Amino acid sequence: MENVLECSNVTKRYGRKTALDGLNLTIPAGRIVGLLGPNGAGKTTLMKLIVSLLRDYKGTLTVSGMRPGLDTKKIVSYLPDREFLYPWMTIEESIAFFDHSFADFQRDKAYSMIEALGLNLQDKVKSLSKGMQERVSLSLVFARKARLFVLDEPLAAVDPSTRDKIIGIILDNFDPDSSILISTHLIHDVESLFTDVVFVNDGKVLLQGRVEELRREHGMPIEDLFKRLI
Amino acid sequence: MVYLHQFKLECRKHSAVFAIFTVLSGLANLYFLLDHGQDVAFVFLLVNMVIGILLPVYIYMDYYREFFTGTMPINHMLPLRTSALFGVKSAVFMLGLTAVWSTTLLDVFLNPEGLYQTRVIHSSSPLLGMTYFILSKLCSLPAGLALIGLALAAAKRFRKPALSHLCIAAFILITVGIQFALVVRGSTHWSIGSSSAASFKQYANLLTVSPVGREQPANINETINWLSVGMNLLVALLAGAIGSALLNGRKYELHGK
Repeated sequence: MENVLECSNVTKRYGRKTALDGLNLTIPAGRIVGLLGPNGAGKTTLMKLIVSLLRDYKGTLTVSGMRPGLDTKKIVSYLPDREFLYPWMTIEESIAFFDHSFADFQRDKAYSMIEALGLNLQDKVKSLSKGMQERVSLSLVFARKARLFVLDEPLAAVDPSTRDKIIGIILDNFDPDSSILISTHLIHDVESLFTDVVFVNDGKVLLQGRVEELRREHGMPIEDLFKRLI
Repeated sequence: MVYLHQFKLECRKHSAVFAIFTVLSGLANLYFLLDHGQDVAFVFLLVNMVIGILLPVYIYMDYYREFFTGTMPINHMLPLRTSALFGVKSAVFMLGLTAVWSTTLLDVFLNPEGLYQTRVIHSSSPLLGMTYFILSKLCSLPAGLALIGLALAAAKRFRKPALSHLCIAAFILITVGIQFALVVRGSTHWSIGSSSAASFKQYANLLTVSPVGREQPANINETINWLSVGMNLLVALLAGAIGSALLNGRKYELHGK
């Protein structure tokens, strides 16, 4: 199966500080990968490299065989860890924005996902709660037929009920032809979501593998393994 | 298609600001047409000066947020080159700036004591004078916007904020300074941001300059300075080309902080 993401010896420095230190990572298609690590581990840096917000690095990084850039932006759908949508737009305008911007955007899918959230299309983004904004953003991100979905801390700062709903959106929209990379440091509630996990700390991959295999091999849940490693 | 929608989006983001400034400037110019009192003239001058300062600041702040800090990453997710994003935004700014500036033509053309009636119409070639008058302004706009883009893109090369800001200031001040020195060369005195019937306005980048010689020439076309237009075109081309290369280059990164 073709690898959606390949990182080989990727090093990223901010001045004297090394954010990623010779990182190696491969994600084949059809995986939901948890990128697990404490704050400052290098998770967001790796994601920004994948989506080409950061461009200056050493090593090799490819998405579906292409170096991050214009072409990969067409096949990577990204949810950043910050305010994402224009607050002054209505939900319907946000859908139109995505529809006009990305060739792989599925407008009908977006409408049905927003409808499932019980939201009014005329509601302004700024009028929504933080949790609801996160769900709308996630719906728009998943309404694309992308090869790789990159979600940076989608579960941070939302209540447990919203967290469950977000996990529901991710699972409902998982396409075996694509892969999903999710960074988080909240492991307990989302462990069941992942097919694979990658533990990172100090810019290095400490351990990676299939969730079931790691559980069996180490005889403990992923959260306990995380605590032991980091 | 993406370009067109991005253009519409930028229009929507900035239309209110440019509409307010256009109306304000239009009202000030209309009022001055009807009342030429000294107090009104002062207010008229003040309004134009304030708009002339606020608009570049507004534009700079928007570019800074979008292309320097990158606090709203959504546009940088689009399958567009960063230079294309900059170009689309700049096109909207140029239209907005042109709209605001066009209101000042009310005074130039309709005021019996305005530049056209008192000076241009009696010149050797009113057509040449008006062509210069309009071209010199329009060429200053891309020069100014491209210079800001270049300064911000170059400043991204520095990791220390102090050095970045120093780089931005140096790029803008040195370029505008050189252009200004060339514009005022040979004049006995000059004023910035004001109008004078003695000569055509000249533009050192976005800076409006009215250079005045020892004697006011009877033919205002003698104050035409194509060098200032050429300098603005050159700055627009060079800053645009280098800025584009920097914005699309590997060293240009958005940290979103």
